[in-house]
Amino acid sequence: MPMRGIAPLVALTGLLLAPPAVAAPLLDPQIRAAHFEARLGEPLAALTRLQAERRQGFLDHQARSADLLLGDMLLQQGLDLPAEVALQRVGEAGGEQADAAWFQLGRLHYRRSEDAAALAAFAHIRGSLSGAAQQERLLREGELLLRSGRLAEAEQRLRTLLKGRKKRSDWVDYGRFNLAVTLFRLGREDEARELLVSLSKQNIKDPTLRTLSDKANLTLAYDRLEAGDIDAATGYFKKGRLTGPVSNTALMGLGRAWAAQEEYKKALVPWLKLSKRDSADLLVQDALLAVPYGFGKLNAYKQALQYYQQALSVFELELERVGKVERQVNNGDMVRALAAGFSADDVLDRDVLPALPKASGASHLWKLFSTHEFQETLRSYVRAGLSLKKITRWTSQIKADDGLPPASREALLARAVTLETRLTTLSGKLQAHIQFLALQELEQRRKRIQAYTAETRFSIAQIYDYAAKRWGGK
Amino acid sequence: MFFSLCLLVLAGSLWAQEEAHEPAVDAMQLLHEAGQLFAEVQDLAVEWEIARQPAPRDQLLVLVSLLPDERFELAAVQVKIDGDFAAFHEYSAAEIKALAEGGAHRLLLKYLPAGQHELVARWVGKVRKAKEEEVVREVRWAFRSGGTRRVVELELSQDEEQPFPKFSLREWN
Repeated sequence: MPMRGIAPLVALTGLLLAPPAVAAPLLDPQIRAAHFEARLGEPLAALTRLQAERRQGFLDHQARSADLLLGDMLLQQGLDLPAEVALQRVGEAGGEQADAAWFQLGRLHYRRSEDAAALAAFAHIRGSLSGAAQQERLLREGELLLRSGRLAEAEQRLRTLLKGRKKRSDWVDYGRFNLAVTLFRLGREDEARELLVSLSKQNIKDPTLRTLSDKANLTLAYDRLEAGDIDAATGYFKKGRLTGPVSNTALMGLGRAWAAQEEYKKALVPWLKLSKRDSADLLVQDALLAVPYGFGKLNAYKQALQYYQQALSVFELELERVGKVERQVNNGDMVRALAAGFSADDVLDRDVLPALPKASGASHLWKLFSTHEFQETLRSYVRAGLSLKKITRWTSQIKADDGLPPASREALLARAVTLETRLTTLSGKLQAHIQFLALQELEQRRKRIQAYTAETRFSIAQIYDYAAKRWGGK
Repeated sequence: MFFSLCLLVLAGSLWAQEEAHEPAVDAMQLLHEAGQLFAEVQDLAVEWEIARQPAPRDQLLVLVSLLPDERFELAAVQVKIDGDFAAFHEYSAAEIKALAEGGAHRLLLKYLPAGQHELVARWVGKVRKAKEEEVVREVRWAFRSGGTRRVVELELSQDEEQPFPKFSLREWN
């Protein structure tokens, strides 16, 4: 199941910047000033001042409140390491703010795929968080427990998430899907199917629900396919959209379902449809071979030969396209195009993916683009570039800042120079890693297409051989 | 015939699985190094912020806050120290909203030589029931600087017992 593919559906940060009006008179005004400045669109300046005050001990009397806000603001600026330190301090100190800190730490570890640490952080939460935060926590915890095989606990969390929820929310809807997966793993297949059937019938206007409905139909289809109930499997495959994110899988699955029944004419309908889509997609490449295979099974050797030759042409073209993308990766065009897709704000928002460049490489590397490692590396690369520009700007400003004591100015400028050098080195390393990942992916693609090409040539030869034996020289 | 092809088609998903590789250890180290460096860049900004401020014992920080009150519409706050003009800020609607939501405005951070001083804070605004009438409220505070950092909050708070909101100065330690 594509559990990791559950998209973050609300902003990952910002929960703690809720208005502190009720508690305001008790909160040090320096902390409230950070809220004020962040709210008015100066989050980085607010963070810098708050850090400066905290570092000088001006907020020691309200350290936990200051650190909790600091942790949240650091996360919003993508500064995970100091955020983790600040939030850990709050969590370990206990008290009212601890639960919010553990929650933030839990989602931070979750995002980094540090499952055990995420579960440990969530387990520290003593009370119930408010609204969406509680729902997110239960969904994440359920997912982590499911991944680690602690199925009974996963079910408990997900049932708590669903309990008494009449108002729809994305967290709850994904919770229902995850609960179905958990129940499948627990062997309670009837309950799982019931949940999936209810999801598959959902509102088709809402994009999230529609995608979930497609996933539910696909899961049900494969479940039925495995059970040998081909008719039911076909029915679920047909319910899925032919244009949604899982439609290629559905089309391939539908064809396989018919093929399993030796209904090759019917199998050819979805396979032919799929074979006309973007040939960079691996399932489309499968379909390019499945189509002539189906014709072969129908003894329609002429068409089989025609489609094998068509597949061969497509694979040759694909190899050329892969080569072109490799050149774009090697000369730096791909990284530049990807980096250009990020705005300065986007680089901090982990829900935002870079706009894929129009270059042909996008369709070959989209799967790599969606991995955590690639995204974080690219984000860091863009950020290193922005930081370099920032350092250049600061250097000029520090030189011109008359209010600075000379010794401080010199020390700051020396640090700026060191940082500039290290950022330049880092940027190079990040770019090299992005290129390495892309080339690795393209090499796998090349090998796959080469294997398919060899297989296609072999099948063509088999057809000629069969024809020669059967009809001789005619 | 074509059995090998059948296996190939069905094996398609296996190829997909092979492609999903685990993050390499060096990638994690690289990302950690990047995170560390970005934190150090921010650290430079923090050190710069500290360096440009007066020494803590000579600092006076003045912040403005308000609780929403139907009776008074804040327009501006002015601060004089020892009779000299030190700060004046007119509040926009967005700022008033951010204040009403619990924020505080950093009005003034000032170096003060050690010794005795007097701060005069003035709130300027309008009484909602008499829109045209400008109202000025003033609070005076005598204090000594040079020993410790002084942080004061100019509060505009509700006081249901009184016909008018409460204007006060609160010192934080």
